[in-house]
Amino acid sequence: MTITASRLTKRFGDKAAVDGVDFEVGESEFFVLVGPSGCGKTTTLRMIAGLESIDDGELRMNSVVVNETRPRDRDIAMVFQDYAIFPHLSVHENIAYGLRSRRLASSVIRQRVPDAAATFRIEHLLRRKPRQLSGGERQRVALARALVRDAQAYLYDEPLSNLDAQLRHQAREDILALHQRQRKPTVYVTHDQSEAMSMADRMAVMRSGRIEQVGTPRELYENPVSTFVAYFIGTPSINLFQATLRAEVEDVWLEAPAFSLRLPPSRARALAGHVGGPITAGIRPEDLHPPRQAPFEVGEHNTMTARVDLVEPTTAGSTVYATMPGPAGDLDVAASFGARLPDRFVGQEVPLAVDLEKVHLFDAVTERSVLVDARAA
Amino acid sequence: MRIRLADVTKRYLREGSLRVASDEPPALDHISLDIADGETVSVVGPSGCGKSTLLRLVAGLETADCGTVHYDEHDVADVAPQDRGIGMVFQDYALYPTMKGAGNLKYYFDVHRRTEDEARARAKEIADIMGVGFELLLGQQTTTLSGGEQQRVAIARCIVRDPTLFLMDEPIVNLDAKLRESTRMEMAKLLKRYGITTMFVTHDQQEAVFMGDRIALMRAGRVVQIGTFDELYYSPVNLFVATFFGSRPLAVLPATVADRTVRFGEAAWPLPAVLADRLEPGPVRIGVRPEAWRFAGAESGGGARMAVDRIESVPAERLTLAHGTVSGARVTVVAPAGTAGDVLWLTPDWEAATFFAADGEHALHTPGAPEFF
Amino acid sequence: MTTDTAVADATAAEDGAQPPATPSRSRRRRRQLWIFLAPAVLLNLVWGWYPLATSFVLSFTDARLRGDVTFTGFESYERMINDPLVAQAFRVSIIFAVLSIVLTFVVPILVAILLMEMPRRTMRWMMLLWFLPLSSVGTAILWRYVYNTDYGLLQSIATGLGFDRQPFLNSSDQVLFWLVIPGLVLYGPGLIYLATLQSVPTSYYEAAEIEGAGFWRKIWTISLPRMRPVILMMLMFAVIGNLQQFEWPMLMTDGGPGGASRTAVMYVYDILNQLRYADATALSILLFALIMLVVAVMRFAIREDPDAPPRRSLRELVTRKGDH
Repeated sequence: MTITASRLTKRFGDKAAVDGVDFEVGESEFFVLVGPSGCGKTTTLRMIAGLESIDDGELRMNSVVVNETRPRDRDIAMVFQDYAIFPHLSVHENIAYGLRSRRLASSVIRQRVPDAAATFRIEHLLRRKPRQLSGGERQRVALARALVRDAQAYLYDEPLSNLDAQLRHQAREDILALHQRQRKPTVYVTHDQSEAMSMADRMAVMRSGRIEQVGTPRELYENPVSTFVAYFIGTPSINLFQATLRAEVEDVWLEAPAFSLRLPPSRARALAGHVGGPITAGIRPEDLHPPRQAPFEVGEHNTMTARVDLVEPTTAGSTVYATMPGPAGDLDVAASFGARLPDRFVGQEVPLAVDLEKVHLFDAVTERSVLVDARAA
Repeated sequence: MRIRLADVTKRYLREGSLRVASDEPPALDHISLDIADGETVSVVGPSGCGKSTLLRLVAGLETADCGTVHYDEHDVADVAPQDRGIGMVFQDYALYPTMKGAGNLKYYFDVHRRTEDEARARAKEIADIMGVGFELLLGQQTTTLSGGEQQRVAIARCIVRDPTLFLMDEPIVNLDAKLRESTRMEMAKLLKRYGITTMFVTHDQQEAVFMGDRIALMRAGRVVQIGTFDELYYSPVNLFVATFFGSRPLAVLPATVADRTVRFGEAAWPLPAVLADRLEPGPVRIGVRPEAWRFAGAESGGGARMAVDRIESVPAERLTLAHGTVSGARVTVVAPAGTAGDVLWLTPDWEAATFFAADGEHALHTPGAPEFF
Repeated sequence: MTTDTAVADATAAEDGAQPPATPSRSRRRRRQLWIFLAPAVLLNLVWGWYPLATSFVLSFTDARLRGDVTFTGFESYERMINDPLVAQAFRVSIIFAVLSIVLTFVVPILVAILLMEMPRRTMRWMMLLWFLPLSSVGTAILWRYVYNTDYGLLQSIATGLGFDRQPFLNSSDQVLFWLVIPGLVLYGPGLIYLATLQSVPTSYYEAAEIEGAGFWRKIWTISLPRMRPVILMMLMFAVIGNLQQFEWPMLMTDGGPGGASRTAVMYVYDILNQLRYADATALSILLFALIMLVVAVMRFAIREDPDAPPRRSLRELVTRKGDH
């Protein structure tokens, strides 16, 4: 099956919670909707489920318009944020709920429920009530309930947000294993971009009811179409600076009070119309290196200097939070180092080598990328 | 201010019972902590480990069954919460919903009968500390503010009263991921500038590492280990600590040590001399971090055979991860870029591997922090 | 233990000599608690427990308006138990309670469930109606007119439909039935059911819908189980209240015709009017005992909490013991 949304719209009063959203979820694709709270991702999911009516646009499953189809006739399975498992029913009855609703023979139920439970390692809990289960076990009950029915599509509404970090890894693998097994179109909603990046085949970043960009995690990371996407994807967030472009002979320079960087020809070529004007530069923390460890040649033209405020230890090295002088007050800059910056550097000025091949440039007014083709959006 | 807890124990009444059940595990079990003046200590642990109870006890909202809490040299057992000079930030912000932001800040001055001028001057000072755009928030009804904004007002309300101790109970857990990131940054800077002793309760290990000078990891009412990130990450006292920290799961391999070799499933490796001298023969469990593996090419080049379920690329960290199993144990490894296929051959990096007892969970050998420079 | 090494540096400061906990603050708090509770406890003792204890004592005496009171043992009880009118009154009370619960108890539950399906606005209006203070005395008097055999509303409907003239409250066979019917319009409990239903997470219904449940299945598998503790509580109240029914028969029939609607409490009232205090208290105690018995049986027989794990059967418990 495929799920196709075209100009999907939902209004609450005057406000459009979802405003003309287009996307397609292919056969056996794991599609993630991600965005900050209130961006309309959950409403979009609920429209796919049929829990929210569609005010405008079309929702198709296998090219059949399902705008008016009742949720139970859409043959989907959904995992809710609060799991929505019924506290008064045993684990067995919770998993069997959909089968009983569809009046399957009890011999089938007796066979399928333990199977689904075994997939998520809860077969020994079938007689328990949800109250006796831990959060992680409850979540697996919800997954087993979704799996047991062999639905045509799977929907997830922030299923991991109520779990402790340690349980989240396992749950993530469980969900992906379920997907591997069923190979059905899946729509997964989360506000956590790292979760989205690690799980998605393709993902859509949403913002105030619209989709900013759709693509694979790598595409979104490498070629964000707007400052919003650039900022949203990646932790720590991309550093955004206001700067101007200055042409000098063959070269184009990126100028700001705190730095001036010479853009490589590959970037400079795309900038023809913007030279001399303002521009927003985005540099990811992982593209800032300690000069001696930079995987490229370091010189005046690709170095900036910042004063270290904080060093956060990470498993790979450290994240350095620093400040540079800006036009109005200090500018924050974060850098991810592959090594640990010793604490004695706190308060010191350190040079940062910029990987200029990876600098992102956005129109200062429209906030759209000047490097990525419009059609990529 | 220095905070010292000595041997604090706290039991709760069981529901429907009038007496404390002695068989029930205590909410706090002989906790001792020493927080230096100006230090930020993160208290972290899975839900129900007693971290919030600990915070409430330091605040005076709970009383200890036995043990003492000292603020500097004073035993505060008889000091009511409102007289302890603490600022507390709650998970749900607990702003007064009927007041504007400014009213929330002024409340303290109204209660303590300070003058209007004094209140206004102090509010101004706070707005400077809290940074850009803060004054705008003060004019608004708190219910109309977003989560992050409410949280800023809540923190400001704490600072207004010039606390000598900051207590934060999962202050940013209700914000979404991206906002959490920027808010914790702001808070960390604020604490640094303000230089005030802080206890920061969270269930998120990453947040704990970010906020705390030291981190106290709790489980079942006890502090399992307290120390810096490097101490907890590279020298965990037990398996629980080792699995708790790290953004990706630690692989735990049940193995056997004999004749200066270690056997795990089909694979056998000679132990480096240092390890061979330290480890008694017998069963052990080896903890290997995802980044602490060596690879032996795609063909059977020795080592342990990993059946790969899924390869994931993490562009932001320029990593390729392989998820799968080695002899039945779940393993996530940081693989060389461009890794593909269903099988990898692995060997733990012995310099970074941790050894745990097979029967208990305590560590037999820990690698210690690597030299970065 | 591993923990000890980890916190050793912290403990070192406070080597050993721990003073015992000083719970003076908690003691102060407990004292405050009692000060706040005192008025309520006092009122309860004076107006609740003292009369109960006194009437219990009086039921074993020959208490009259005036004169000495002497202890007479079970004399009053004997007299009451042998009084045919007492048996009749108890029968009336029990039938009234059963009829009332059978006929009126389910209606507010259904109404609440159906209202949840209504648009918000309709629901609000209905709640407003329920909140309106209906005087039950006023309602009772109104219904007396409705039931009037000569010019009552119901009579004109009955005759209008071609029936014979009906006796309504004048028939000793039908009187209890007609007395129960007005209870149908009192939706008080409906409000409580509605509040309960509103506290059920909507995700339960949504999940059920996606799982393929229809309207009735959702009610049967979600609404009713979620309401169960409240329904049982209301049932308990209904049983207690109906067994003590007094004002409706008092106002509408005065116990007639021929005692066919004289409830136990009404008979207590009658005896009191004859200044037979000892008998009245003895009868009250008997009624009290009956109600306590019913409540005890209900509590024992019905498990209130729908989310609790299933009770272990006796056999299971025994075999489990054997395992250890």
